[in-house]
Amino acid sequence: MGNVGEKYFECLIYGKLVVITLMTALFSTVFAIMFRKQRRLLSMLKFFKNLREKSEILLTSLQNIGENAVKLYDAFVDVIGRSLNEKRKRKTTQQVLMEHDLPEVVLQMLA
Amino acid sequence: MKNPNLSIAVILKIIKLFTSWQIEEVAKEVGFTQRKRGLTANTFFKVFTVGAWSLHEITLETLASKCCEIQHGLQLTRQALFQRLKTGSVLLKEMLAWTVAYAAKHSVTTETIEVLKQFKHVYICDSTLLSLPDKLQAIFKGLGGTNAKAAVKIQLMFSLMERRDGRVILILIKWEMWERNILSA
Repeated sequence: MGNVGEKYFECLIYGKLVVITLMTALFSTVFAIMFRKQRRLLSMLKFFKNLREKSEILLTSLQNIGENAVKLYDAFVDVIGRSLNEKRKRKTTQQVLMEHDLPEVVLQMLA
Repeated sequence: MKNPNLSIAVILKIIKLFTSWQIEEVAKEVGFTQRKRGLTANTFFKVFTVGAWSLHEITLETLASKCCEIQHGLQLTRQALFQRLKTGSVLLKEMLAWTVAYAAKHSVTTETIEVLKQFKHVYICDSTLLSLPDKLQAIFKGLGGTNAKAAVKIQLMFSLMERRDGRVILILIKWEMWERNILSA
């Protein structure tokens, strides 16, 4: 932040919070889908880091979502692919818990 | 990764918020949009969210050039952007409340949890303390000691049972305000 002012600071902080909220919602959705369909876990840190790298594509694609839908989808698929946790034989505590019949909300909270 | 079994609709559902008509509606309400030409609320919202996220060095100049980049035909100086910050912060605050409600609506249906149904209201409250650059100490006085000279407390309250109405309260609290109003209560 160069020339800092109260309103400038507020804009930046609210902007960051909006991004965090939306990306967390997106992560939770994708996390649940990936586990249900492929039994793979996503790393939240990796997801945010990789998504930030694609934020420029995200910003330009948002100008016309209809036309850029495929481009956006490819970017997200790439982010998801690079954010998957490595496969391992020994189960994590989270994976052990997920074998039990827990309500979906608990799965969401674990994410 | 070629096939993550992920529907394009899932991603677009959340991403579409960035182009939502809601932004322009809120902008009119808070007085951000006064005329059709010039910086639009949609551009302002995108630049201060995803745009700022992609920048490594955030200055008014880089943000103004981002606005020109994504809004065709726009010419915006940093001074002009600076003048929009007052109404812009109100717009972003309103949009944040709307975003939290939107995200909650698209997550797990918590109404199904039987135990919560016996309560009339369920509030999720969370807060965090954010250290700021010393330049802001006149506006957001810090706690002193090991903390920074400037700090702000962010408090969020969300009504889970009434989330369809988007009941979100978010406050940026200056520390002296916190001491005076909250601690003395």
